[in-house]
Amino acid sequence: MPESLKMILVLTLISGAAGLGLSAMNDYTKPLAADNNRKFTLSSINGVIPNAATPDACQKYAPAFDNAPDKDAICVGASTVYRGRKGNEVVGIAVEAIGEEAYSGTITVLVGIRMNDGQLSGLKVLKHAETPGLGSIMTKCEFQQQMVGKGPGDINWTVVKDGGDVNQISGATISSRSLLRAIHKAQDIWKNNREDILNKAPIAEGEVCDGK
Amino acid sequence: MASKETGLGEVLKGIWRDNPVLTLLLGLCPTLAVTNSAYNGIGMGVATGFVLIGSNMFVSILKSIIPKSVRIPVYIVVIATFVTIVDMALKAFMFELSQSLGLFVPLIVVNCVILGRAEAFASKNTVLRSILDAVGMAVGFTLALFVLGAIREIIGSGTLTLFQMGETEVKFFVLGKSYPGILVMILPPGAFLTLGFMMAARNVIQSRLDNK
Repeated sequence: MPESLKMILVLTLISGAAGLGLSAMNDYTKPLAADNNRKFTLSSINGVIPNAATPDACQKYAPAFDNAPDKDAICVGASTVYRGRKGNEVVGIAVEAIGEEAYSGTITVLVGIRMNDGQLSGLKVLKHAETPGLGSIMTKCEFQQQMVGKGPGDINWTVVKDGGDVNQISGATISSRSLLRAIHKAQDIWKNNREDILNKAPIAEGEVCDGK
Repeated sequence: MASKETGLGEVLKGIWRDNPVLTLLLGLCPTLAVTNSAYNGIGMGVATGFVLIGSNMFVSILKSIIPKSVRIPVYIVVIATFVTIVDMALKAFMFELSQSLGLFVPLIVVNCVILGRAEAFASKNTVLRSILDAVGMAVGFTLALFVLGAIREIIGSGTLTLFQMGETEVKFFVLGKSYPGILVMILPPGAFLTLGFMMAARNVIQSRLDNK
C-alpha cells in the first residue's frame, strides 16, 4: 500500500472511531447536562423572587411562587422574562438582562422584580468576566443589599458618582454602572410590558431570546 | 530510545525529577489561570490527568500503525476526543466545577504536557510504561496545581477549599473569617509569584539532595 493511502486510511479510521465514541457519550450526557442547567436556572429564580415583604440580599427565603417559572418564560427584546405565579396570578418576574459596557465585555444578571409594586426583590449575577476582587464584588450580597428590597421610586437608581443613590464599588464604577443598566432594563420591562407579562404565551423549552 | 527506568521509577519521575509544572514548565496556561483555589487546582489536575492517561495509552497502542508523517494530527484527534469526553462528563456530573473551570477544560487540548508525553514517550514505549509515565505526570501535575492553588487561596482569601458541590463544601477559614484577603494573590501575578517560589524551593531541595 502506498504511504499516502495509508496516511489517509489511518487518519480517517481514527477520526471515525473518535466521532462514534463522542456521539455515544453525547447522547448519554446531554440530558444530564440539560437537567443541571435547568436546576441551576430554577434555583437562581428561586433566589430572586423571595417570599418576603422587604427582602434582605444576604438572607435566604422560600420562593414566592408555586409554579415552575423556568417553563413559563417570555421574550421581551433580547431579555428572557421568567414568570413566578402563585395560584394563577403573576407575583414576580425574573428578568435575565444583559448589562452592556462592563469592564470586560457584558454581564448577565437575573433581576427579580415584584409584580405589584416593582420592588427589586433579588439580584443574581449569572455571568461576568470582571476583575476578581474588584468588579466581582457585584456578586456579593453585601453590595446588593443597598438595592434589593427597594422600589423604583425609593432611590435614584444611578451610582453616587453620577448623582444617584447607589454606592458604586470603589475601583469598579464601570462594573457598577453596567449592573445598573441591567437593572434598568428589568424595571423598564416591568413598567412598559405589563400586558405581555400577564398575557403572552410562554416560549417553547430551549428557545433563546435574541431580540429578533 | 526505550526508557530504562523501573516501573515505579517511571511513576516517580513525573512527581519529582521531571515534574511537568516545576521542572519541565509545560502546560503553564491552565496552571496559572485556574489555580486561584485549591479545589480548582485539584479539578484541573484530575481532568488533565485523565486526558493524559487516556491519550498516552491510545498513542502507545496505535504507535505501530500510525504513519510518521501524520502522527501529530492523530495525536491531536486522540487528545481532543478525551478532552471532549471530560468536558461532557464534567457538565453532566460536576456542574459547579465545570462552571468554575469554564473555558480551560476545552483548552486542555493544547496543553503541551499531553502532546509532549505522547510525542516524547508514548510513541516510543510499551503500553504499560506509557500508562505508568502518564500516571506519574498526572499526579505530579495535580500535586503542583493543588499546592499552587492552596498557597494562593490561603494568602489571597484566607480560605482553603477542598471540595465543593451544590450546598456541600469542605472549606476551611485558615486565617480566620475576618481576614481581608490580598487581591494580587488571586490575580494572575500571584500565580507567577507563587510558581517562582515553588520552583526555587524545589531547586534548593534538589541541590541539597545532589550534594549529599
